[in-house]
Amino acid sequence: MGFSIKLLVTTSLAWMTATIAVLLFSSGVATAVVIFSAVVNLVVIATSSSPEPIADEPDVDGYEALTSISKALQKEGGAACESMVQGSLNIHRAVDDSVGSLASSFHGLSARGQEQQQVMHRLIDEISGGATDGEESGVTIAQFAQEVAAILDDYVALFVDVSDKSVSAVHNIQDMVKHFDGMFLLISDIRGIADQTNLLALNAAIEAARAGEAGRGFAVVADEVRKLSQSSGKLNDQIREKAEIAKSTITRVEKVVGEIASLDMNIAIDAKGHLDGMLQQLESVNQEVSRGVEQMANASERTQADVSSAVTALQFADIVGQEVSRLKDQLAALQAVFVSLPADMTAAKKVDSSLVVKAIRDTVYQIPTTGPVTTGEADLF
Amino acid sequence: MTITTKSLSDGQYEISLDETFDFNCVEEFRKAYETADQGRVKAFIIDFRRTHYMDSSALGMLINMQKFWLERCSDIRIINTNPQVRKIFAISRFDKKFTIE
Repeated sequence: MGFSIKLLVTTSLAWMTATIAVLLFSSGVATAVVIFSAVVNLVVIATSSSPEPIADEPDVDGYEALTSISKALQKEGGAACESMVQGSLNIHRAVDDSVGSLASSFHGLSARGQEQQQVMHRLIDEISGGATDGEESGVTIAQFAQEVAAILDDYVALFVDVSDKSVSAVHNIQDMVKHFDGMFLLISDIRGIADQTNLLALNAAIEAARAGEAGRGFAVVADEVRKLSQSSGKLNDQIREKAEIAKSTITRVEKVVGEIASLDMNIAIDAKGHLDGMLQQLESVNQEVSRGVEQMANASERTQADVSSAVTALQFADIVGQEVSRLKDQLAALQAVFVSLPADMTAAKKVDSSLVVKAIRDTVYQIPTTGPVTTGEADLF
Repeated sequence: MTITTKSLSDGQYEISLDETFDFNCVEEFRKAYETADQGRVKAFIIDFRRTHYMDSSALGMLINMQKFWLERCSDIRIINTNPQVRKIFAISRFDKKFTIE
């Protein structure tokens, strides 16, 4: 009998010790690996020891060792499976909890994103005057531009009006000046008349003197006439003086009116040009804002899509649940196998090892699994 | 500041302006359009070919001319305007009151 059996026994003992150590630390996966290897070991032992003829002396030590392993597995295997089931249930619960928090976070994210969108749209409507709800929407850029253009038009119309009235005033002044010139002619005519009257009176006085006593009355009259002509001459001079002052005043007025009328239109043109430039800049700012809003809307959409696919990915929780379920079933079946292992020599002789192998293969390979979850649109609640 | 006038055969009366059309031209311009034959004249042509500067008094002068002839002749055409002059007419909306070329 000897060597191969002794080797198997030694390795089995080693596995048994390791198994017990691992069970004490209850690491699920490692435990499963170790136990499964132990089971495989048993299978090897069972299949390798059967063709051996029992012609040699029966190896009582070997059988005892195997029986101890079997007993240990029967006793501890079930408990180990229990612990693994618990572990996987913990995983399932942890996953579900996390997925729950994640889902509600994503829900919140999505809601914030939509809020943001709404605020943006409202702002843009206010600025660019797209609000069509009939209420007063405040000053928009377009309105402002129109108002300013209209105001500038009004100012220019003012210039034109001032110019119109100024030129009209000057025409009147020029007419007045013509009349004054006429008046000066009359004044010099009067001067002429006064001078002539004076001469005539002088002549009359000379004739009166020649007439002697008879002409004395006439001389007095002539004298009075002379006095009259001289005083009317003085009066005439005064009139002329005043007329000259008036005329120079009128000329000054004409000059002032001329200044009012002669406004440099270039100021207005430059102002309008400047305004047009600024309005264009405002327009391009407006466009920039629109572009920015579009970009933000796109980013928002992409965020929503990302959130959507994240929520879809959370469906892995389902897969975890399914796999945990499968694991539970497998472990239950394995537990049954362990429990059915022989605990002593007598029972061991009755065991059909091929049945044990078949049972193990049935639990691991025959329990059906579900397919993968296909990724698709996920509705956020 | 010399403004010349020419009476054309088809009843048109041409007034040619000098280099600057400003306040100093008020008297001459008035004389130019007031001396047109009221019986014969059918249209006025104001030639800006030589004019490169115009201030706001020019606008007043043109309006007063239009007022003077309102009843008898309403066709006043302004021709050969340079870009600067045209700009002034544009912002003062004179293109609505006169025919400007």
